[in-house]
Amino acid sequence: MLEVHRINKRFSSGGIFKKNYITAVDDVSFSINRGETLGLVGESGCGKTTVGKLVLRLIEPTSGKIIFDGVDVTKLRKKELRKLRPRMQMIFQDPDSSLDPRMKIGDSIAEPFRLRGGLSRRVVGERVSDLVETVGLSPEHVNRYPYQMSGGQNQRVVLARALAANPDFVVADEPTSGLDVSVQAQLLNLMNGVKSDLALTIMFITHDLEVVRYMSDRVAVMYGGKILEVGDTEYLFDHAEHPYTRELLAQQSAEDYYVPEDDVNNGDGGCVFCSRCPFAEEVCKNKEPVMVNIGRDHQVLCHRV
Amino acid sequence: MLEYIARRTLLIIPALLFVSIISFSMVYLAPGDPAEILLTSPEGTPSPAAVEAFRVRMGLDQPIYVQYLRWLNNILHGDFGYSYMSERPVFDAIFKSFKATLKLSIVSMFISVIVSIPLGILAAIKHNSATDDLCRLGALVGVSIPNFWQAFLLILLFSIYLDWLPVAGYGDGGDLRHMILPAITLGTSSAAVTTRLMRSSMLEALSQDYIITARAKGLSEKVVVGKHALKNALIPVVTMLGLNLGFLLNGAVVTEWIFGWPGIGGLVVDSIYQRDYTMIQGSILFIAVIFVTLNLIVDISYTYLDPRIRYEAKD
Repeated sequence: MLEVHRINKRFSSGGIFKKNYITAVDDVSFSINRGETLGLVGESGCGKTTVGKLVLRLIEPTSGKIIFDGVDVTKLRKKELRKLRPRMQMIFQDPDSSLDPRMKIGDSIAEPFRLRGGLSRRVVGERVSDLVETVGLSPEHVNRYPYQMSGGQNQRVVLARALAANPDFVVADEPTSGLDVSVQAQLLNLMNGVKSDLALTIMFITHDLEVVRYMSDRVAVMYGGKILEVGDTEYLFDHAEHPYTRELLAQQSAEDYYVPEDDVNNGDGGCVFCSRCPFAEEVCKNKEPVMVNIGRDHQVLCHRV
Repeated sequence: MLEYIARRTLLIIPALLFVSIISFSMVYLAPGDPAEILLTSPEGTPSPAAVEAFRVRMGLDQPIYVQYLRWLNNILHGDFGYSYMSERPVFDAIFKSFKATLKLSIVSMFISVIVSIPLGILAAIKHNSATDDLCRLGALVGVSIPNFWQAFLLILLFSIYLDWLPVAGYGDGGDLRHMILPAITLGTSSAAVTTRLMRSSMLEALSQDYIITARAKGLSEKVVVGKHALKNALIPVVTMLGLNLGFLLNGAVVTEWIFGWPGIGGLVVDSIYQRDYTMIQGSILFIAVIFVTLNLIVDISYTYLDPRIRYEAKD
């Protein structure tokens, strides 16, 4: 369904005289099969959100290929891309800023239908009420504004709006992190239900290992702009090979685990994790590791395996 | 909604009363006696008897609160009184000057809006590009340049070197040709500030997740910017434009003076020099009414622009 091949993203900052570059995503490759949920885990600042936006080409990659359903998204021109857009949707962490504050809930959900065109007002209205029901809201919510709803309700609206575009692929960027634990569980259940009903392919970005275990078929672990380990969720949780994955699993969450950028070894060769790795050897500092396949669809980026 | 408007309108009354009391007492605190100033002729100071007679005739011998209440009573009956100096009705003078200021304000507002809104949007869309830098530089120059200097530069270029427009004057009842230069002068700083606000407000709107989602939906950039971003970004801009118009309507004394425009700013300054009490009080009250009304209109238009405010008002 989705194949990402060696994408890079560098952000430039700084003034007229001196430009600084920050490598947010460094040579990342992965693939997602149709109907599968890939979990992308990592601490804040590791580049996981950037990967999510790159995959949908909401920002332009510096280099690399992104192949969605046989089409290289990075090569599409604006017009062609816009046609493809409805098939790939994104859900953000903060539902309140994801909804236009001046639009009623119903209008927000209806917009993708109206964009498609050719549907009468009545049909659009029916489709909107269907979706509202699907995501567990009641019909009277349609006439409300986002500020009149709770965060959990708004996230349901965001989900309904994403579904209105009739997507095949959805990138969910920490969709439940801003919500209460009880609401979180409801929404995750809802997403799982919707996913199997509509045969969606999902990329689920989170820092919460419990959530990722519940939601994903496969997991990719990110650190310092690189994917360090990929594998089948259940297998990976029991047989993590990369020292970083093990560290994460011991912590149970990548939350509050932000590491200053200096600790990420970027640039002058060597492994991104070597300055924090308890097993770092001479080779880790000098030579960049390559992704190794160690069987059962399990890949690790480490010199020690 | 109606209840909200009614409540806001009622709140105007105490504000205006307060303004009138302040303006009334300030005038009396200032040194100088209108009777003496008016009766002083090139031949010398007036006789005390004549001054006293004038004071009695104008009611200036009464205690200040009596004068205030009498004045207020007259105002409530639509009577602004007569000017001490010209002995003509105050309201006519105010109305005439206000008409001149209003004309000028509307034209300069128009110039400022058609320049600043598109530039602000452009700068935000082309964020961090040369276009953006140019817009920001222009805005910086626009706010920094002093009115009087800009006025003289414009006069030099357009009236003296090129001889396209008149140097100054009100012309034939304030025609467009006479209005262009003062309107540009007055509109510049407003345009500069609005451009910057429009830019930052647009940037803020464009960085919201709903904009990214709108793009992800496959909406064209025109719809994304025009429908989702602009509508949200305009809210603070509308407020500022309203306040700006308020300032313009109060009369820009310096600019009006340079261009010989008979506006309300000049009227107030002149009447202060002459201690023309009725004229000062009348025009200050008039200006206050205009300002407060504009604020009210801005607030009400807000509720249409931003549904959140309507909600809070209902609570």
